[in-house]
Amino acid sequence: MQLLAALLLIFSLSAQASENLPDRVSLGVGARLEFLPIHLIESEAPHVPSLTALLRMDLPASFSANMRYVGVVIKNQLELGLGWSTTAFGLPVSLQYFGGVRFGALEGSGFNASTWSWVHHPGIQFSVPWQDSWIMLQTELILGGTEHFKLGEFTDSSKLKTPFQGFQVNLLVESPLGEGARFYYGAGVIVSVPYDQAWLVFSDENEKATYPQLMVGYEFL
Amino acid sequence: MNFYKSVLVLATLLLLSACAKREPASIPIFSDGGLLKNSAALPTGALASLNGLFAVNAGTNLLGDGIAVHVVRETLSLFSSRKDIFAILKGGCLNSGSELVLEGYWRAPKSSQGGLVRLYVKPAAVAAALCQGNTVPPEPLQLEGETLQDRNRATTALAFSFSKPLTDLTSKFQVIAHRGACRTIDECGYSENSLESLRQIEYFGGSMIETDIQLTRDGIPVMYHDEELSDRLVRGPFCHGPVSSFSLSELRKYCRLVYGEQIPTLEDLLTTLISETTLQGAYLDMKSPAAVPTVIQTVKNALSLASSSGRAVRLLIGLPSQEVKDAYLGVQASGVECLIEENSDDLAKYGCGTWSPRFTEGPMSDQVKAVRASGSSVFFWTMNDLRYLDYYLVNSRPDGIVTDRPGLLFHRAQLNAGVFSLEVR
Repeated sequence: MQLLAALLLIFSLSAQASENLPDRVSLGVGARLEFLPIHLIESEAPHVPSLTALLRMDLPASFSANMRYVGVVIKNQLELGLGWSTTAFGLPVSLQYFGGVRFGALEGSGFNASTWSWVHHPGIQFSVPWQDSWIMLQTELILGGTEHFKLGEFTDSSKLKTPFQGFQVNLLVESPLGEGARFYYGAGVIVSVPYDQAWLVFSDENEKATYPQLMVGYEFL
Repeated sequence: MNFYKSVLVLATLLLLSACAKREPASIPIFSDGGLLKNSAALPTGALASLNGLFAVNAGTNLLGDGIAVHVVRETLSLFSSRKDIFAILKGGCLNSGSELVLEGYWRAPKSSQGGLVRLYVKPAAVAAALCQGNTVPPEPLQLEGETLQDRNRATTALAFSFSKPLTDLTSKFQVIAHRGACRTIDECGYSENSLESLRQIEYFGGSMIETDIQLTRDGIPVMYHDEELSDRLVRGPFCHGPVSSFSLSELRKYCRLVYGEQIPTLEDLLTTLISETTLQGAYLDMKSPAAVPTVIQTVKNALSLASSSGRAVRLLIGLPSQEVKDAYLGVQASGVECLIEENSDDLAKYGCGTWSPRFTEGPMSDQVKAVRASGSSVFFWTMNDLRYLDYYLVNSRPDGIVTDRPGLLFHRAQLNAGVFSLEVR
């Protein structure tokens, strides 16, 4: 299972290191594997695989409109985003903002639970060429909103003490595959409170934890 | 190219730093022995007069508006609902019995916060009476002192005043300590499912233990949660692989729990529970169907021991999976109690008297009421969060809750004690 999850590895953010062509639409699919810190693991299974998808449309003036999904049924994020690319010191730099909803639901086997909250991910990406590929350093802030949850007939909301839940830093390599398709792989570090890391819907640890993730993905026109 | 090498080195360092393990926490102690070192011992039972709910007059930022003070034998515990903070203290008399000091440590288990605590019993006349072995009226009882960063550097002033006595919930509601009061990840200074954590349960606010049962290769039931031995719970260079591939002597030889304890056998657990604690019972979560026949016999032996010791305990054999249920039906299980997790309809089928639904199914108030009305008990598992504890206590009114935060649940149960006087059955 772990091997399968590892083989799935990931793709994460839109790279945008390549040229912006207005009206071009691209679709990316991939996987991500988070390695949760052992001090947060209540039982076996410290590895959390996620599926990822990204739909991007290039807009005029180096903007792009994006929609992305990351999730595994009980922990999901669906976001809309706007990106803007420019050049600094001869190298591409992208500013990105994704905002959307984080949600999860589980029914059966002792669960009748669901939860949702708003989530915001402003980020920046620096790209440098490497042979025929790009190396991209990305960072995103993780900002959360009030968590709404339902346990059977019981519903409640809990406001976060602070919207700032953490950040992630990823190092990705983007390689062209021809006909506009691209392959991504990389690794990163997440520093976050557990909601963003624990796929169990209800975690009570409230300190930020640091843990790695691996990613792989494929983007095509 | 140096730039790219630097990037790769940086990425590798980042990943390695993110993989670093946190060292197990130790319980804070007064390095010089504190004031208790030179104090006179308290008369047996003297602290019992301090049981009660107290208003927090100083230290509200740390502890909120109120705390529960719970005394078990010669140990006094404080439980707050704010950050689930608890403190565990011992007492002693100073200045020829004119002062009563309490010293110990406090912890916020959802974080790494914690430190030392020192409190004095006030007024002085009450302290003197307790030091002389006299009982005292609860009012105007006060506790005053501070938290300390080290043995003498105060950080937060504390002052509590008695507001009402504790309600005796012994026969009405069980605070069931999940995996023996503290999961290893909660860093309480003890490993989960160890005899050391079992001995601490009452001080943490629990009245029963929930523990997990695996079977060794030579057929000995042991307290251990996972099927596999791993760094998560054990240490030892040769301590890896399924529990069922180790004999008990190999477990003893090669493995230690994270805080250095042995993996206990079920027999160790039940003997210690009966002879060294006043806990009301145990909820044995059966992880291995093959363990069922041996566990039933071990439980019967323990019930005999309890009976001969004059102890009334409930030892519940949890049947969490179909395989375990089948194994249970396949043996002669008369004389023991069992517990069903998911479907309350299975209570009659397997002859069990306790239903333990996962709290994530919701409060299920009507169903809980119906099951209790039929004479069965209901224990929710595993609830740790203030956001919904009160709702479940008041609306579902279960007979017990399995929790990793026994102190928090103890405090909430006391604050909602009125609901336990309502006869549901």
